[in-house]
Amino acid sequence: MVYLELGRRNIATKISFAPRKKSDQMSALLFITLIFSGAIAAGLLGALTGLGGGVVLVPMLVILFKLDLHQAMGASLVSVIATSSGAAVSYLREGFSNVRIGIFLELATTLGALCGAWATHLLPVRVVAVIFGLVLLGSAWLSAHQKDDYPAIAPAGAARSLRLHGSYPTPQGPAAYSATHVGGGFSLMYIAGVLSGLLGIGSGAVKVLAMDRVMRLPFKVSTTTSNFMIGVTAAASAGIYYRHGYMNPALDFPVMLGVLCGALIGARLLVGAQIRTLRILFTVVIAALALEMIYQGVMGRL
Amino acid sequence: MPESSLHNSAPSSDPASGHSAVDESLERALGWVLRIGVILSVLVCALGGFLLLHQQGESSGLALISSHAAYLSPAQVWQRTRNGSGAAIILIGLSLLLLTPVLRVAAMVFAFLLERDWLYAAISAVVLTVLGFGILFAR
Repeated sequence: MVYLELGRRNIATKISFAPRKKSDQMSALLFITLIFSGAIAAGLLGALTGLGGGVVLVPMLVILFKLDLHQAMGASLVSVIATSSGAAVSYLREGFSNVRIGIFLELATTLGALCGAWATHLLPVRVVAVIFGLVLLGSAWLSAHQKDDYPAIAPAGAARSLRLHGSYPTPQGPAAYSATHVGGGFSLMYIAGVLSGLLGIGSGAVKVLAMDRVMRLPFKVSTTTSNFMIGVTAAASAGIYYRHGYMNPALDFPVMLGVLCGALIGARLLVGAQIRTLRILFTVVIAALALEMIYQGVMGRL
Repeated sequence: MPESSLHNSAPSSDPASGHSAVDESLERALGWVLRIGVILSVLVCALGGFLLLHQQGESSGLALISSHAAYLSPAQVWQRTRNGSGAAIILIGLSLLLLTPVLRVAAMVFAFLLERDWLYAAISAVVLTVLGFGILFAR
């Protein structure tokens, strides 16, 4: 691929305006257009696998476009906020997401996000890359192994005093549900927040893990509530990213617009489409990106 | 049960529901706030991007991205926006985007206060404080 050759220079060695070889030059318009197209693909892949645009976007920007990891993470964080706010609109209307459970768990995710964002510029880039690859592998594995909902239970203990229960629409009428293991779910949500701030992703897979498997909420409630939490979590670390110069306007605008387009197309395709084989294929692609990320991190090439 | 009551419209007196009538009308209003916020941000970013590419001239793609990697103070962003800098306009668009989740949490504080749900008003106020601290001060 052309841009593999042309995009070789890492912007960690940035603002060296030394004269470059002709092959290192690509017109700004072409480069931005390629990033925009890549972001559409990442948004599409993220929507179809349920992993979110960020986890696909960052390895793509780093491995294919040879961009700086921190700047890629900043662009990803921006796209995460955009897709979460854009998607939340339709989810809220369907009555699946639970506002109380969401805001309660955001206590954990926003605090975690601050810690993660603070830690990310202290850690060596290669360590962050390896963690990113491992989280990506784990997320792909989780999304490929979904399970059935647990039977409904009556609210008890902390779930009762915090009113972490509700009902959601099913074809058979409203179904009641309640959370359990609130402490465990809250702790895992803190970890989800740390990963979000550390890696500039939405960490939706870990959020769903906490709600769906630890707190035993229905899968549909978990995914929609997670989706509306992702934007708030990401917003908590955005200020730290900005002040460290990870938000690059020239990179962020094609990425945000592209991921948003891809996510919208993906949501359309998801409705009623048989995408099982496609999902498996995408999961393989994502696992390959994760392994490449770990390899490059270990070899110190980032 | 009528169709509409499927959609989190249990009356606020129903203790079994996580939602209430106040929630529902507020959620609808909030849905619009979020949507308008995202659309506005997309438009501003697209305008900024267009200007950025125009102002750039003939430099290479990587040089373009590298030259915008540095931190700009809010005062610098504002001053450059007034001079019509595409990059600064994109940053304004990104701040609009960042405001949407913040507004959402702020509205939840308000909604829980209206419902006299002091516990959840306090919880959302703490989340709002953490957000504000992260966006304005944390390093």
